[in-house]
Amino acid sequence: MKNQLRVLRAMRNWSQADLAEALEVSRQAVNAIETGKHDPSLPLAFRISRLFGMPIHEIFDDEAG
Amino acid sequence: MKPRSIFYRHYNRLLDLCFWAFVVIKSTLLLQRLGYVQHPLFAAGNPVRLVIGFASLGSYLGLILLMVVWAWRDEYAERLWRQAARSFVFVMLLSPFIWMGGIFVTAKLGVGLDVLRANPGTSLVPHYARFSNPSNSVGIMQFEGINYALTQLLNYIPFVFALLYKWHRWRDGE
Repeated sequence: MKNQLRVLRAMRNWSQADLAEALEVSRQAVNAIETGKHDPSLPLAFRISRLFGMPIHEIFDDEAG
Repeated sequence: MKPRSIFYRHYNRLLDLCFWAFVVIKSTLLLQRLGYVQHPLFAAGNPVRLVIGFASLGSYLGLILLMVVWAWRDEYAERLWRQAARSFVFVMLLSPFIWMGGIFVTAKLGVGLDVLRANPGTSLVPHYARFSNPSNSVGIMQFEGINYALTQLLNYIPFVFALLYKWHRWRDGE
């Protein structure tokens, strides 16, 4: 699933490790989400949404429409 | 950071550490048994050998722990674990055919068997598991041989699982 995670992270000057620590996941998980290899679970998607202060659909694009 | 998050961060590193420790130690011991490594450090009775033994056991138990303790995995590691588990089923189903095929090929070609029969001291197999009738039998029907084979198989199951986990992780990274 396409997402804006890398852009949002770069805007805040965070490394993947910083984001991983904030989301309480591994750095590999952050990398997998950014590259679209892994779609986050709903709880994780909500944590990402709260962290960046943006709705989920503005961060993630399921390319459905 | 919550304590579980510490495990999330280090799960893959721990797995890599145990995996490569297992590979290095087993390879070294195998080469030493076959006579390619004759360094006094690996001689029986040397404290280094005791350390290697504990490290080998530690890496084996570490891999088992990392396979079993689901709470140490975040959702991505859990996904990789499930993919590795699916692949593991196929590997286990195919392994008897690969094993028997390997035995058939080596018996047919005579590769290694003559060396073992001529030099029992260099055999990798304990005396109670050796071929009962070297000229005809491959000794598989010996109970001790089956028991030994099973314990060796169990020794390598965590390693195979970790290998599959790393392969799926590598595929994701490509």
